[in-house]
Amino acid sequence: MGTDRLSIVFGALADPTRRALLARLADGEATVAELAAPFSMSQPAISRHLKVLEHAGLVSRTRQATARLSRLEAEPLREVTTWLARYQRFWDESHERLDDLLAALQAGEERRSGPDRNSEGNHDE
Amino acid sequence: MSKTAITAEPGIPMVIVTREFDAPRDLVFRAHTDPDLLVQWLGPRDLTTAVDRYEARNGGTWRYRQTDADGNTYGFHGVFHGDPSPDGIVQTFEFEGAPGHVCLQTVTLADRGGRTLLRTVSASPAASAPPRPSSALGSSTSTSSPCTRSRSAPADGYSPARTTWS
Repeated sequence: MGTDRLSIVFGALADPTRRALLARLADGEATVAELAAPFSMSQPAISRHLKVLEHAGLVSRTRQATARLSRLEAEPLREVTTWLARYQRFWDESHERLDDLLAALQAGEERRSGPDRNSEGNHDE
Repeated sequence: MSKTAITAEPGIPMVIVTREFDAPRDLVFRAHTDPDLLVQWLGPRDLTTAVDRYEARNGGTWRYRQTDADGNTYGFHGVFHGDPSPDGIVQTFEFEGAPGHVCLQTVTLADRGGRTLLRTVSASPAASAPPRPSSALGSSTSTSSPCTRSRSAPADGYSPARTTWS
């Protein structure tokens, strides 16, 4: 996923109404009227949110007879979570290794300075 | 031990990484500025890190390379701004695979009664997206680095996942 698209998806998700719309669409396709029903928000306002979601590739819209149905598209969500998971993995693993290294360094210093920790601050370079 | 927390503000090209370590501040600082220690922890275990330069002082430059199991090597370099101290290690960061996309990274270390709270803020002013690991970009290899920008989409060809919302 290109950098810009990732930004667009994050931007689209950064709104509680849009997340609620996606949650509703996870249960199946819906019309704007159906989507607007639980909100104290006009249908045009809901349509504007849908447009943002559509632009991010999170929602696709099809016409069925006179109704326009919105449908959840999960792929961008997967891309976002993949990105986050890799970033998380880089730091998780780095920090686990740093935990181990810090423990080893402290154990080493304890051995060198003996049981009396007050003898002198033994920080070598 | 403690869990690494990552925060990305939507629309703002900045990522914040925090983690608490069971070690005094000076030691965590040393692990960030002594290249012999740095190579022992930076990056996932399947990457080997080699430091070419690491001049931890105001205006000093640094460069390191990370190599994966397949022998692919990725270079990174930057400059220290101000003398690094536990109150702040400020440096620029550039992935050599995406030259020109320079990111600013600030590491602060706070004493938590003998333990140390690490906080890394990575901001990429020129970018329109959060700083991101290079591995998110294209290759399936794990060449992630804290603050690099992407060029292309992952080519893994995966199919849409079932996504749950809470």
